[in-house]
Amino acid sequence: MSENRDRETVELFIEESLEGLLRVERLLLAAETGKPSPDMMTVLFRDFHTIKGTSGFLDFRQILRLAHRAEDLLSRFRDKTLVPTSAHFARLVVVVDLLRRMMENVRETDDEGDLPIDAIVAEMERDLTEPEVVVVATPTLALAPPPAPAPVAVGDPPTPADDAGGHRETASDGTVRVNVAVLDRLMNLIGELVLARNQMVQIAKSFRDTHPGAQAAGQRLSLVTSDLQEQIMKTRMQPVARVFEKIPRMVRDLSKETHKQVTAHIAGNATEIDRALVEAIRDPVMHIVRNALDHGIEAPPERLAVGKAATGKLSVRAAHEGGMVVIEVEDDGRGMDPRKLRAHAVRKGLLTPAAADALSDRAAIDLVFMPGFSTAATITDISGRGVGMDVVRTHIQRVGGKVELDSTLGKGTIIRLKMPLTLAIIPALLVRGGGQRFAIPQVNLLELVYLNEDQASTAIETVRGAAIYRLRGEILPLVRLATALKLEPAVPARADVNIVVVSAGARRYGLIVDDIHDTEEIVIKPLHGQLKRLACYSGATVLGDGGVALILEVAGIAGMAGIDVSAQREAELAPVVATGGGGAQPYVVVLVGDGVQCAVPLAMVGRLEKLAASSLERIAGSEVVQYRDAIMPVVRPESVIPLGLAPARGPEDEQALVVFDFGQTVAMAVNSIVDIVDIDVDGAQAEGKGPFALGRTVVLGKTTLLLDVYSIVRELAPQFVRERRGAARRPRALLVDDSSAMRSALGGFLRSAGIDVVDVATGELALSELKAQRFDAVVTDLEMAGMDGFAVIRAVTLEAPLLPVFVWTYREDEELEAKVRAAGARACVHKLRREDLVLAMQVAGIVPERPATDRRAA
Amino acid sequence: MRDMRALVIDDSKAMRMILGRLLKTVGFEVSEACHGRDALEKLGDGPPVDLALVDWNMPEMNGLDFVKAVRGSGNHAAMKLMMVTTESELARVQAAIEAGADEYVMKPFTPEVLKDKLVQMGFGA
Repeated sequence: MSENRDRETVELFIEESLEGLLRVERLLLAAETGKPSPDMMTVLFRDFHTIKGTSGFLDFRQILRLAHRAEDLLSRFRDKTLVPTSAHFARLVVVVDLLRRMMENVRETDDEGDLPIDAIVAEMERDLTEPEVVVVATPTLALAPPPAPAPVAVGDPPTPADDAGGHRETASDGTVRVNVAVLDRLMNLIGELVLARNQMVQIAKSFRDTHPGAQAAGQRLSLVTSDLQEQIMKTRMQPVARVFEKIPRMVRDLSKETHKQVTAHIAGNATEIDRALVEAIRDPVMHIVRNALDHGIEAPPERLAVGKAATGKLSVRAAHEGGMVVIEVEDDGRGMDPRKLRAHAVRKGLLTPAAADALSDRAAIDLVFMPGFSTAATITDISGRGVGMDVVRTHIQRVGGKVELDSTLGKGTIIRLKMPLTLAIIPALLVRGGGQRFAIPQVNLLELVYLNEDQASTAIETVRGAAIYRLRGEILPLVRLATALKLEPAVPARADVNIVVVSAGARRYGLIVDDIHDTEEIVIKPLHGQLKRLACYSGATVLGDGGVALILEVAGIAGMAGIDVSAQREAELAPVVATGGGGAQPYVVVLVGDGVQCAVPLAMVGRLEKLAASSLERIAGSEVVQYRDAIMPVVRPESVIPLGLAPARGPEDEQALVVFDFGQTVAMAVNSIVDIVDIDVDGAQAEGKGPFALGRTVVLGKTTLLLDVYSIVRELAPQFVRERRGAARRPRALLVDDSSAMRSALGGFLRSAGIDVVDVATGELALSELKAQRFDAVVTDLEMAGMDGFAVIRAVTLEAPLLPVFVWTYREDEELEAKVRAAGARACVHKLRREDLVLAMQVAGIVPERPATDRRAA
Repeated sequence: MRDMRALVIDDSKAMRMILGRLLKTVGFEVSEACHGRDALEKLGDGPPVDLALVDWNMPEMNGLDFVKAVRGSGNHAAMKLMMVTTESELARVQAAIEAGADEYVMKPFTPEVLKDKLVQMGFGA
């Protein structure tokens, strides 16, 4: 061993060489995709040259030999005495890989190891013996086609020369190389066999009486088939090491880049999983590791300051657990701070402050799975790739897996991926809808609910045209399968109802089916061509009786039925308050007129007062009350809404007043104040809607009218409104969107920005609202059933030419924006950027620049 | 007599470390530069250097250009320039000698080889 080989020098050599190899690799890849840089050969040459020179001093002979030959080859290219071909580059890529592995060996064992380099060295030597060519000024590097049938790449069948060297694996160690295509074919065949088995077992059942042996034979066939299936599945298994082996390198590179110290501990490398799944977990695992380094593990000073070791620890483990493969990525970093996550969600406009505050710490941590939530405080090169945990979750769920996350502030984070062992054969529930059979993958199933005729008629409610069912207090949107797929409903329609509760992404909903059959192991067959684009099906399968069933993609159906899977996450996260749902806000419940229960938003209420009835006076035909040295107008809802007459009061009786603060105070006279309760406005029914009421809902067991305080005040105290105009009247927007979750989310946001919102689900409803009351702005979605956004723009322009229309959409392209503007809209705003909508409204002069809530400070 | 100074010019940190050690074992005080231009700057504002070990392939300014620049400037005339080379570059050593390099040494080398070369170049044994 060389006397130069001390630890420090060797470590430096490895670090430098790996850096160089990375550079080389990038250049080679660029060359392969036809984008060679002009000084590429010089750089390539220098990196191999340095490795060669240093390894000579350190006496790493294999590395020297390999680097030397590569350098020779590159000097020929550099000096233009040999034209590089893609075969040459392929060889150099192999050299880079081998050198890298040797470096790893040196790092771990102080020895470069005994890797099979003879073949590749021989090939390069053969390249070098090729006659010199004179290349006439090649402006860019043109890759000549490979001269001979392209040789090489590690893993190709060994040449006889290699065998003599004895480096290659032989079959004697009990393994055989099998082409992946053969395994895939075997997998297909076993799939067919499972189908045949299922058919056979059914037939056998029907022969039970006449041929007693048939059933036994069927069972035997069944057992053998299952066994065979399991064994063949095993041949497709690959160790997760194929993903994990990249982690140490990545951790090293990232910790350098982020100036952190991290050691990676990897366990369970040998854990096996279907090869298709190996590919499926690669990106998610890498992303999670990247996150752990980028956001989880702190820089050494920060760690030392909180009493941790300067070096962070990242553990990646894989193990089999209850028929699943579990992959855990754990770091001992700073953990997630529920408070910051809540604040972040609010800042991003994903949650209202109230909804965020109501979240438990546990639920707050789950916010990272929300679409549009990026955990990074600033977008960095490392994690800012537009992928967040929501994408990780989507990917994992797509292959039937689950993601779990545990985080303790200051202690660290664990993310667990639970994956099925295989993809090709899955358990599924067979259902019938619209006269056809469909399969729902078990992984999407939550539970089955059966409602008999009586229950069905009472338990299923219709809210704004959408059917819902309250499952243990939680609102479950319902989708009728036959309707969603546009099939003829079963005849005759049944009065009882079967609901399959499914989960699609983060959202659950109920699928109403005609019948529920058995669960069956189904073999997934991909759909062909045209059908592939249908979002509602993920594949097809052949059933035991030989019939075909389409496999339902529950997320796709939710989309088609207008259930916004991602956005309703918000509603799910928010705690269920009183009547349930995410739109609940506190209301003051009062009795008005001859005892009709009404409610007004607590947020608008300044005070609740009880004064002697005698303190109310009439001045110039208007009722007023002396209150805190000022005179304020009194309004009575029953004078604009037919609520019956309030009981007469003597001068000594008490008069209850709800005092609103519009910059100047206004009192609403009511019979009595009942209570303050949370009301889900979104669940309110539109039938009670009128010029002075927002809707009707059930509160405290009684039908309750939600009063539109502004309209009432404007109607009854117009002089007051006119006087105070600019300051007192909040701008009012009409919001048109077919997703109730979106309406509720944006509505809440706009209200908090000082804008009153009336929201409707269709363009047709929007038109009738426009005729009924005055608006300052219209906000519309583009894609809606019936009248779409463009139709709304046209209709508004006809009805009220000066009324500004804003389009908000998930789509984002300039062409669309131009079209929308051409149609007459003021602006086109992306749904995830609600602040922009308020900005656009400020620009249009609808909203004052200063938030309306600050008014009183002036 | 003052200590002898050497400057190691090489873009590889590992190589600089190795060469530096070798030079120290034969009695030099060592400083480092990572390419030709860096070396010129360090020569400009440092104490006089007796020997420079010059790598061939470097970014910014390669070894041959460095030799040309130093010898062309007329400064540091007393400084000996030793090319550190590999056998694949032997053919080009001639060009370096013509440009004003004093000696070459082929990688990898031992302290003994280096000592012999230094004696030949007139450094007191």
